[in-house]
Amino acid sequence: MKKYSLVLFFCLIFLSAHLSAQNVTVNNNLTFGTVFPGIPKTISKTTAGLAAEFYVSGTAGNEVTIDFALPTYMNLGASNMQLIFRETDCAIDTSATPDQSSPEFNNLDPWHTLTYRIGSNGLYIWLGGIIVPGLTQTEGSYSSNIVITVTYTGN
Amino acid sequence: MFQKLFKFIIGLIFCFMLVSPTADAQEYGTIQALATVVTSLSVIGSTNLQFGAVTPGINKSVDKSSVGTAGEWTITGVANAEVTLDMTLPDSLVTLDSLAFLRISFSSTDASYDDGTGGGQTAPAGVIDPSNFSTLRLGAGATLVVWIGGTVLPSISQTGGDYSSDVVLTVAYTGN
Repeated sequence: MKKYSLVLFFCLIFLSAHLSAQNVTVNNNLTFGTVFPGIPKTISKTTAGLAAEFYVSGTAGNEVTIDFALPTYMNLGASNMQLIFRETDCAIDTSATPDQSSPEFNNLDPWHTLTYRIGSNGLYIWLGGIIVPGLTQTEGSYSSNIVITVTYTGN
Repeated sequence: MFQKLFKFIIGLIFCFMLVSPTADAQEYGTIQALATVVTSLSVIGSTNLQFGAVTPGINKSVDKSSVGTAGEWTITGVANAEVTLDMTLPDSLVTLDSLAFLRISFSSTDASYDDGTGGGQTAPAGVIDPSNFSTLRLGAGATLVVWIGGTVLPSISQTGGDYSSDVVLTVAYTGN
């Protein structure tokens, strides 16, 4: 019985280690900076420091799905400003040497579920976007949340 | 022996059930999209371009430096922001009943501006061509003043009366 208990104990240890599959770290907000009324502004996914950056850590080889909850407006009180994400505004790199300026998987669609495997150095996700301020856009600081959900598929 | 094995298997299944909810674990990350919108541009036509009384057959000019009679716009926005200026100029002034026309012309030096670095309307910071697109910067005080002069060319048989027309200045941020 002691032998079985020991096996059971190690099974649990193994499972708990194996099942904490991934962890999402937010490295950078999507930062548009100063915006002039009437002048749309684009932040490319490859622009370090301005594009949004997420880092997914976990067991190399684990498959994960990535889903974004994307806002269509940024807000300042009752004022809204249109925020656009195109079908090519996302990039992912699972390589050992992630490179935002030349990502492994480029021009991905953030509006659809993305499925990739965590690499030996984790998985980096970058996101760009466009804001379209109106000519009489109320001045001030606008913000909105972008939520990413990373799910371990078990594959 | 079998009873122990049975208990072990039941225990194992129980443990799997306990742990399995995390097997399809989800992780969430939330970032913010951030932007700061600066002040919108304001363009105010503060003085009309006024030729006053005009004699038929005699051209009359108003210089851009003539305080109170040259046209004047005041632009306000963000300090040092680059803007484009585009004037829509009439080729004639028209009577209220739209039956008579008085020709007007603008030369390439008929407009000027001051961004705070010059001495105002009589000694502006620079001269601009009102017929062409200009790119300037608002001053450190977040303003730019533009003046315009012109010349009316009444014919010898010019119909008497009051003439007017719109001179439109369109200003837009370039984003720079």
